[in-house]
Amino acid sequence: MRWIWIDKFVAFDSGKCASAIKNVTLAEEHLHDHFPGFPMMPETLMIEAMAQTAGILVGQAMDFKEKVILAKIRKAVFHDFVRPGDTIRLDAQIESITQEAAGTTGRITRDGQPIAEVDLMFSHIDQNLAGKTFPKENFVFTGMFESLVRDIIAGGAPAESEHR
Amino acid sequence: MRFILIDKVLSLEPGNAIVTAKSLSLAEEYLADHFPTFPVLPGVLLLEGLVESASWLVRLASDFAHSMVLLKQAGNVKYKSFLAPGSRIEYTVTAKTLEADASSFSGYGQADGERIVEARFALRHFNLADRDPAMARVDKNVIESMRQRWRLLSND
Repeated sequence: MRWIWIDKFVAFDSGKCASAIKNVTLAEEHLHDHFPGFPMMPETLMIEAMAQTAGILVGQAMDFKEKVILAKIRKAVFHDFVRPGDTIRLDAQIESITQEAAGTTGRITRDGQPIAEVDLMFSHIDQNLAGKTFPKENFVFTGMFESLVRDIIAGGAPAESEHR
Repeated sequence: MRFILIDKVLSLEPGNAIVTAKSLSLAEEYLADHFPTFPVLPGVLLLEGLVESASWLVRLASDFAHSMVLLKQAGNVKYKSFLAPGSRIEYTVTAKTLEADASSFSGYGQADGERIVEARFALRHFNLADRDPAMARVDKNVIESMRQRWRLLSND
């Protein structure tokens, strides 16, 4: 599988908040292991979907100059599971942001019903983890994310759109 | 990719603790995206390794009574370092509470003596038939698949 867990942004307010959606489909191979005979989206991958929504929000706030890495899952609480055919919506907000780190809060819903709350902490690793060496180029925000962020960079915030 | 984030069970104290291992290989496709010039096991899959390890403690303690063993809550999941291809991480998970329909754990992952991840988390356990009796056959099939997977992981 690929490592991209959101399909598109439906709202983006630079430095403040962003919303993305992900369609969950039987065409995703990993679902057939989790669980065989009753596929559902693994909770840990929902945390990753939020990390990508919030991580891009944080990265864009710094003009994608920092390597933004997930440093801590402060809290993740799940209320229901998500099945093929579902669309989940991820709403992320920046709570704090400094040169070294950023904190975000987030909510995952399906048709307006709560699925999870996920609060994260990101590190701008060039400013931290002294002693470790990393590639010079920004390996976090690569071409893979280009289609996701193109509209954000080009036109600012896309209008809130219906995604069905 | 397949979604099985531990490779084997190293030791087991039923109802109390489990130690498992996952080897990381560049042959795993998602590493091409995470990240192209800096491949490392994604942080959420470190948590998944801990959760899967704990789920075996739950399934064994209840003799596979429930088809569904899901992450209910995670807190204070701290990432200390990165796991690179060619390494092996060992997860140690200890049960704090282990009840019929819920459980809680603390765990960590270590590679070459270096701490990679620490976490506290809780699981919930149930059968689909609890909500819809017609799902009893699905429960049975999932449970049989999980028994097979346990035999694979434990060389039982």
